[in-house]
Amino acid sequence: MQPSSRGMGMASSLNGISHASAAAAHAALRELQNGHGLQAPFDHAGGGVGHDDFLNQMLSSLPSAWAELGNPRPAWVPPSDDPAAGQRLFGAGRAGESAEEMQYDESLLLANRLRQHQISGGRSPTGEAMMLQLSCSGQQQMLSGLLPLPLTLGSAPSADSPNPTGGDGLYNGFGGSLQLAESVNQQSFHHPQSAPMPGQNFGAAPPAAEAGQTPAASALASAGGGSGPPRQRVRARRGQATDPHSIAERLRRERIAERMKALQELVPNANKTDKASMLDEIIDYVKFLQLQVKVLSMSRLGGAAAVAPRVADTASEGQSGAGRDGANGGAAGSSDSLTVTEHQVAKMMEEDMGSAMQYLQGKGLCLMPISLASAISSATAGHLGHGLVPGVLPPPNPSGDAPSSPGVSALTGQSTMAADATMDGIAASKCLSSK
Amino acid sequence: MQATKSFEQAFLKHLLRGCRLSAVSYKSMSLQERKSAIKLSADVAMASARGGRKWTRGLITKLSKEDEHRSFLQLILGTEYGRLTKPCHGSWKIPRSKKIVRRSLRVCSRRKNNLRAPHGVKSSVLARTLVEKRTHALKRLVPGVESLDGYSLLDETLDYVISLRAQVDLMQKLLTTFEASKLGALSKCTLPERKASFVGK
Repeated sequence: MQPSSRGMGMASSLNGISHASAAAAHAALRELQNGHGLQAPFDHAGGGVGHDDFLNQMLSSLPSAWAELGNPRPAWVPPSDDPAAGQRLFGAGRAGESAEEMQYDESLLLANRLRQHQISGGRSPTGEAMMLQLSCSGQQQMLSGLLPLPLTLGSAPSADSPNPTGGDGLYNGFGGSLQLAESVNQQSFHHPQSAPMPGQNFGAAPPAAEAGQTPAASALASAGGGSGPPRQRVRARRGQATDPHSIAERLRRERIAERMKALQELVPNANKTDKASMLDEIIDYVKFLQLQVKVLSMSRLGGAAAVAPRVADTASEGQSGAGRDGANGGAAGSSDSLTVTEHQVAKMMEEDMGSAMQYLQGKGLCLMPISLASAISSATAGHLGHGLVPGVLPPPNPSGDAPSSPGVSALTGQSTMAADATMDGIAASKCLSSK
Repeated sequence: MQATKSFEQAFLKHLLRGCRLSAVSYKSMSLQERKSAIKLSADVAMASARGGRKWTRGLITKLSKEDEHRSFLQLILGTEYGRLTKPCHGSWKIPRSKKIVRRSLRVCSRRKNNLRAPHGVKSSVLARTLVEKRTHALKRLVPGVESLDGYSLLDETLDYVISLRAQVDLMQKLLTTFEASKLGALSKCTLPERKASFVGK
């Protein structure tokens, strides 16, 4: 398995690839053909490394804002050696809060303990040792609390860095939790003997989290308006209520606002300040993406995935014919109105493109190339669609108007145009006029 | 915000495996069967590639409700399947209490509305109802977030949206890759020409 993949890699590099994915895809198909495909689902190290070569080449063009974060890293550092990483672990245990906020909680907790020690007249060295021990045990608790998190398949053999590079503090929380979830699952993969720990510590972890929260609140309340250990973000302003309930409320609202901001980055056309309309956009976008998946699965994906890439002309024609016949047969049994529409359009595109377009327009739909649909639906520029049939112009897209553009959904069908043997994807977009 | 490379690799691997496993072919399957088979493979691939989130668990539970999918899921997921579909201990209590809470809220709001009707509808109540309605709609869309609230709901939604986008992206790229290879096979052009016809890098 290994030598074959390396041989593939060398062959690909010999070709002098600039468009790596095409050749890599060929290599991938060839390898699949050779019956390589089925591996054990949890073959982490072997499967991951073995597939890394051609999948890497295939995906080398995929834009990734976390490319630098996904770089292979030396072994994951256990929490006792790296208190900074441990703090972030602690944060990850609280489901993706930002690193600063966790440092704030941690330092408040420690500050509280220190104050207690000072009050009780404890000696400083032991107090410090106790604090360190507390932080370490806290980290360990959170670590073990994370272990019961269920599966990951195919996590990268090398753990991702727990230290997201500066800049996007907004994504710290999610980035931290995502990578730490992977690295923690990595940890579970490497240390199966720590399994008994979760049993006794998982119950302790939530109380530890709760205990962490209330001393923080009380510490804030007691600090009043002046000195005390250095605070991070939240500070009780003059004239504002310092009781723990309103502070917890404020923290909760800030966290929700932070999540909303992150979602705003993702969802297109989401410049709404209102919570309700923001939720509206999110709902529409999720529906749109789910529909896109459904449509993509109706395309030629499956046949190509299962069959050898080198197909003769006649065979491909036969395939598309069988697909169309299946469409006619399947239309009767489908209850989904959209599916029926799609089948109708696929049928009509056979005979006469013009009548198909008229039918679509009667339903408030229009035809557009996949690339345009992708460009409208997402802000990413790296779309790959050669959906334009030569000689056929897409009609002006009425869904480009501002109010309804979030509701654009892409319908991918297949068409064989006249004497043209090339298979293209044509996307029909549906404007959701009513919200 | 993009999905990580390991997610993409795991997704592609599982998708291709699932397609082969369900023996998707043009000759033997209709469009509907093919569509549901591929969609099933894609969903399982997405859920298994992502790992341990509430929505992944909910998605797999929802998929395993159909009897015919269960054998497929067991083959793909292996040992993980039993672990995932085992009902979560913590979530048992919450649905029941939420029903009671919801019922009491409804009664309270009805009483409040009856009292407030002469004064007109308060904007805060209206705003809250709007947000509630949309929250319920969102809960119907994202699998497995029934019992979540506020921050956790948004967190799961964020994760789900990222994974969906990655899924769509990868499937589109896979599709164009396959079509490009088929195009190359049909027209029998050389490799550089095939690469040149590959649009949009």
